Amino acid sequence: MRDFLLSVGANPFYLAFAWFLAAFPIVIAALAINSSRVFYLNRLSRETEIQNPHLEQLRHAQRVWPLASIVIPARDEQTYIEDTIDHALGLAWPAIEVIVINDGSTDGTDQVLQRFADHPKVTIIEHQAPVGKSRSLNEGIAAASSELVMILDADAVPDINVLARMASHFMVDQDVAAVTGNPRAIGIPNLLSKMQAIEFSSTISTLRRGQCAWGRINTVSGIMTLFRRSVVLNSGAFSSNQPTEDIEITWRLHRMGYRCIYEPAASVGMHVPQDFTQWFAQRKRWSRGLVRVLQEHGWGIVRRNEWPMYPVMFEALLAIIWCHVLVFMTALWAVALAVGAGLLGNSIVIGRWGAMTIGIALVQILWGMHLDANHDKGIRKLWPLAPWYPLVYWWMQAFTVVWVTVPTLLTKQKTVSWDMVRSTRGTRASRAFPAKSDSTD
Amino acid sequence: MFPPLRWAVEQVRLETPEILHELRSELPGQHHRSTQPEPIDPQVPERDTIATGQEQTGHELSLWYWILGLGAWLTWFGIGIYAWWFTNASLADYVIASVIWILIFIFAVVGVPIVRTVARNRNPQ
Repeated sequence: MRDFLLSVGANPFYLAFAWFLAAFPIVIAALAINSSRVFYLNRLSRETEIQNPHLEQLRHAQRVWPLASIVIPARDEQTYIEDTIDHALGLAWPAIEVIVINDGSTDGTDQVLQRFADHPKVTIIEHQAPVGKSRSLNEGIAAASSELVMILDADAVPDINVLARMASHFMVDQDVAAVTGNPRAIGIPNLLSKMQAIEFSSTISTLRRGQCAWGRINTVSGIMTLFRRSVVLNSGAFSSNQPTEDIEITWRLHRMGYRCIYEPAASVGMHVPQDFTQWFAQRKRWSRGLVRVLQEHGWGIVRRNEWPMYPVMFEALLAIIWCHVLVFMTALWAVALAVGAGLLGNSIVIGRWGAMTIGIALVQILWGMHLDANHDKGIRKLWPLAPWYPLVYWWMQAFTVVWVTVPTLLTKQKTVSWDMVRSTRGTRASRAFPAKSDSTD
Repeated sequence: MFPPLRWAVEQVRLETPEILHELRSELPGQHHRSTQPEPIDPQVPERDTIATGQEQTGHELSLWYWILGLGAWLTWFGIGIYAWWFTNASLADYVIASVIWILIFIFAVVGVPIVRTVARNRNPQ
């Protein structure tokens, strides 16, 4: 066994995997840092990060679309829904309408919504039985009166200026179909939730800025995105058989020739999972959703040579492969250590590059925190915990991806409904999860 | 006498330094933004109210998290020190790794032109 593993350590394929394992995060981090800097420079300066650079376009948008529609799908959201509606009604825009779709809640959400039953700006659509988040969103968008439609999770806490920040993009470029905001983890009582807050600034914020500079982003945030209603309806609206309807519609809109924009100044508070069970369920859905989107759109992108999508597509594809390589290599090293074969090449590939990979990941995290600090006064306080992200969180993510990829590829797409998980702390995490019928684990 | 383009750039420099910055940087588009110096619409507050960890009272990290963070930083340093000083590395290893690391660092710090090319080619349809 030991001799076999030592021979594996010298195998060219093993070395190729090891190089890929070390180099991929470095390349992606370097690209993310650079392209997010381009995104930052495009906005001219730190001042335009703080002040809206598109004031004329904003005023134009307010003249053209004085009414904005906020669509809030809800399923068992008794805890947060009232606060979210209040925040939506308070957004800075000439006129607001809020459309709440209560999708068969059984926890008393309907009683909370009674408070808004006679509110002139609030429309409540009741479903006796749940039909799923995508269908609820589509119903709300169809019922909206404005071309400006913002989808908002029922536990989201949007900043007061989000509409003003996002809507002006539609006037800057006519081919913009969606503008997504900047999720911030507002409840981070433990290490797991703190690592998610770090993740939002390192991979999500930095990479999304970078992707925006590339011209195509991987996904809009389902928690809060502003859409042009007519474009969404013409595109076929949200797919009801995708675990992550936000990723799918992003890729679809891009492939139709529209652009989706990331607006970091449009901050929205988000309640992140606070125990491992919730986190694992959420990440399984996200991973499964990405695999499904690659299945749905990948081949079409290659066949039609839609090259603007290549950076996003190959980044997603290689990230999935990298997760598998990481888990496989970790298992191999563990076995090798156990049988006395060392680390199978305690060499330049693993040793030095491992430290380098973590190092550049830390640079990316700190750069992301620096950028986000323009809009988020709390993020910089987490810098002491930054190394936990590459040292621990990467493995957690990789394991989740490996857990779902093959089962997802082997099963057919089915209609996705809601599923709820409950926090051990007595509060409720309001994420949409695939129904048991789509769950393979 | 200045060539025409240089003369134009000089005029822009005198009038609107922000536009000059954009022209020189060759960043894609949006020069018109600098021509709108109107004050912010009072209907649109610009101060952000959302912050990471705002639901916790006293979001400062406790001593326990500082210790956890210190442990993680030391682990990273430890991996690097072990890999560089306590393994059988040849001089070639050091040279190759150093060159590659320097190239990565340069790319991460001054690699903007490469990515700018990608950004400039965006939205081709």
